[in-house]
Amino acid sequence: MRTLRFSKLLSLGLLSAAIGGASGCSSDYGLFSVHTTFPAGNATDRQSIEQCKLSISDGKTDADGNLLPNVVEGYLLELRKIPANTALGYYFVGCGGSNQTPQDIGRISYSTSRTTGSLTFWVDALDNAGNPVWHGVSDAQAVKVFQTANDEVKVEILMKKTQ
Amino acid sequence: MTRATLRRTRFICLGVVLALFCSVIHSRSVWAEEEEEIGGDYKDPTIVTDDSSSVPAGVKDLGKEKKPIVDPVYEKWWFWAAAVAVAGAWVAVAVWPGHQKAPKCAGSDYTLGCIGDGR
Repeated sequence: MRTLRFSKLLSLGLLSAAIGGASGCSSDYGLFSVHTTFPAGNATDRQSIEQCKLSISDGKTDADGNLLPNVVEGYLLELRKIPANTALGYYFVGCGGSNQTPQDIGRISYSTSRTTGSLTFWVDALDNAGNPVWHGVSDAQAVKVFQTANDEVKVEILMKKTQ
Repeated sequence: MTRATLRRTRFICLGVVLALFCSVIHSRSVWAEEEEEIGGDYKDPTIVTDDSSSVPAGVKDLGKEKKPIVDPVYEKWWFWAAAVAVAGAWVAVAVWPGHQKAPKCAGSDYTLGCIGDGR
C-alpha cells in the first residue's frame, strides 16, 4: 500500500516536471553587444543611406563556408537623437536620410534564449530605392550563457561599400 | 568395375529404394488406421460448441469472472485533489510567461536600444 502511494506521488512529480520542462522554465539567456561603424572618412559616402537593417542568422554555413541566409531576427536601426553635452546638445545614432547617418551607428543589445550554437550578425544599409549600398558582417559568435557582465559577447561590425 | 559388379550394385540400390518405398507405404496405411480409430475429422479443442461436454483448459468464461469495483480510486479525496492541482498547474503554465525577463540594458551604452528574447 505504501509502495502504491509512493508510486502515485512519483507519477505526480514526474508529471509536474514534464509540464515545467515543456513550458520552458529556463531563465538562461545569451547576450550580445553589437556595435556597428562605418569607416572614418568622407561623410558624403553615407549620404545615400536611408535605413539600416540588422539581421541575425544562426550561423550555419554551407559546404563552401558561405553564410546561409537563415535569418532568425531582423531589426531596423532607426535614426535617433541622443542628448549629449556637446556643442549641439545632441548626436545621432542609427541610419536615416538627410545625410544624418553618423560614422558610428551605435550599439544595440541583443538577447537570445538560445544557450548553444552560434549567431552571425550583419547590417545592410539601403538607399531610398531599397538597394544595399553598404554591408557589414560579423564573424560567427558562439552563444554564451549570461551569468556575469563578462559573459556578454562583444560584436563589432565594420561596414563596407558594396558599389 | 566389371559388368557383373555394376549389375550387382544396381541390384542392391534398387533393393534399397524398393525397401524404403515399401516402408513409407506401410507407415501411411498404419497412420490412416489410427485416424479412423480416433474418429475421423480433426476438431479444434478450444472451440466450445453446444455439443461440448467439457470446458477445455485455457478457455475462460469472462462473464463469470467479472469482479465488482471495490474501493474505486475516483472516490478518494486525494484523486480529485491531485486532478485539480494538475489542472491548475497546467492553466498557470499556459497563462504565465514561461521565460523570465532577460537582463536589462546596463548603462547608456545601448543607444540603439535592447532587443531580443525576454525583452
